[in-house]
Amino acid sequence: MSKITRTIFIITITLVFLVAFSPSYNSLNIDNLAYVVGLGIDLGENEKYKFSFQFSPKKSSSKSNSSSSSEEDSEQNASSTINTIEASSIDTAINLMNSYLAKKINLSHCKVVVFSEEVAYNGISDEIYTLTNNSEVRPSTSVVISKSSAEEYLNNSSPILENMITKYYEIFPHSSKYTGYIYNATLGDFYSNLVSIDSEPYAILGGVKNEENSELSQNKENSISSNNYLNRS
Amino acid sequence: MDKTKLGTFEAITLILSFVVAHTVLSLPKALVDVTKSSTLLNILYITVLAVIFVYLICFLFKKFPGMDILDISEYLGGKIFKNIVGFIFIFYFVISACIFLRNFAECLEIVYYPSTDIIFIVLFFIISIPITSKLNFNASLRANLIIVPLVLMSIVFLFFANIRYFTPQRIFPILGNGFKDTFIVGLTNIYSFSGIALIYFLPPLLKEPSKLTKLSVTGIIISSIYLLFVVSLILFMFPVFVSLDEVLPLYTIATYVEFGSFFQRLESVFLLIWLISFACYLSIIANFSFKIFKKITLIKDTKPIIYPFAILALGIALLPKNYAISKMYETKIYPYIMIGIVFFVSLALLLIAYIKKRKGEKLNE
Repeated sequence: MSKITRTIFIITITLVFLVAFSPSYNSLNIDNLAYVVGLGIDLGENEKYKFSFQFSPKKSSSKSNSSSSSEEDSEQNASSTINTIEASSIDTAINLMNSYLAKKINLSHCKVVVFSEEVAYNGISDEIYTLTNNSEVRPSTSVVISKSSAEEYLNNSSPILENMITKYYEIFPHSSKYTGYIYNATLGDFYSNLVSIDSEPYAILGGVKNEENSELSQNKENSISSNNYLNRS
Repeated sequence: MDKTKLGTFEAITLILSFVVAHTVLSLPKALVDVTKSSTLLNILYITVLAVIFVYLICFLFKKFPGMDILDISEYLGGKIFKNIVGFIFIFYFVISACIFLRNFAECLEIVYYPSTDIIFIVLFFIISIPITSKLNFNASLRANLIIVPLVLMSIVFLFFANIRYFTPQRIFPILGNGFKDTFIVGLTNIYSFSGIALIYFLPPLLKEPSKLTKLSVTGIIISSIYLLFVVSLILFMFPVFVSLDEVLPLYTIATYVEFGSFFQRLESVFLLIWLISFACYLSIIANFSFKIFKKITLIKDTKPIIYPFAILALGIALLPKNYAISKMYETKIYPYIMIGIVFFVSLALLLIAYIKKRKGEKLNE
């Protein structure tokens, strides 16, 4: 093969791959994805479940608008959007949300999956299998069973000492290292115990306090109230 | 003309490269699906059988020093028979490699490139065929020599990194679905030692042909240890009776690896290593196919057929309509093709040639 032919061949191949894997071609980049940071599952009214997708906070404005105080900044960072949809399964809900949003839902940064207590009582193994089989969902995702509704839990989880809700979700189970009130229950562990013949799955029992729900703790801050071993599969 | 001779380690890694490429796909899951909790026992059983088989073919090859299966088939049935055997092996190597490539590309598409057309992902691997074929065979061998130990180490690393998720009790019941399923139905699992197919072509390529038995058995034993590690990972981490991820089971396991907050999402590193090993596997398949083709057509130079071969491989890889079809080939059809060609046809051929030779020798006496 002559040198010219070889050069042409290499250039052609390089161009093909540049086009094939460039973001403009596959349109899969940070601008086209909606990162879910928390997923809530409640019992639905018209469908089996009501899914709440908590999305990562919107990008803060550019430097020119950054004259606002650090307090405002942290407020802006902590704010996140929650969309709810009723569907029969997680996959259906994701598909419906994909058609509703202008972006594609991505669960690779989902830090917490919250099930309401009612949903947990009915059994959550199907949803756990779905989440485990999803290549985007990390096994380190925390599993929380909420005394209040999952939507309420996500809505009211606004950390005080953290700017980012994603960071808060990631680090809150870490307190299990120095306190006995919480346990780091991850999706990987939950699944492993769910299918194990000699152990039972467990999740973090959480809840939030709001004005209407006075049954829970009287503390003003939204926090995980306690942990418990949940012997349900 | 390529006169590359293989050293012992190079030959062993060649045998291993086949097993490695298959385990990156759904081989371990397919093994566990057949024999359930008795898979580890089954692997030990098929290892013994594979070692006996390898000893047998190496013994038969001793009667034909410096000859491979094609030379032996020519001795047995003339040039036409040699061509038939050659094309059977080319068919086996190329079809299997291309369908495996399609499976791997489909999995990559699901995991990393959901919006990319499958043709581009397949092309990414196909490109490795002409590049490595244009270079000396030594290039593929050296690359393989580096990457195979890396893959082995990655699996050992995965094993120890995930040990906290293990439930060793999943090995029980030790006989799985029963004696019949473990030792009779489970015999089909012997297809996991796909590297045996290469042994039929190794004798003329070795620097020291006398070491054929030693390196073949070593290759099979290392493959077996590797399979034990991989199957243990699947078996101890996931329940055998629950259908889990059909997409790259080893990738799913790799997502569990985390060391504190600093080292997370290490699966990309594993996938990169497996990706390179798969490209190595393709280049080895291509090189052996060229060698067979050269031998049956007596062409002087294989370079002109490199590009048509790459295009053919691309076409075959794109042939299955979807992942379900290519996966069906991998799990339902491939085992029987492999066992048929490698364990029955080739062995029968060797045996008949051996008997013919013995008879000829007796007549001469």
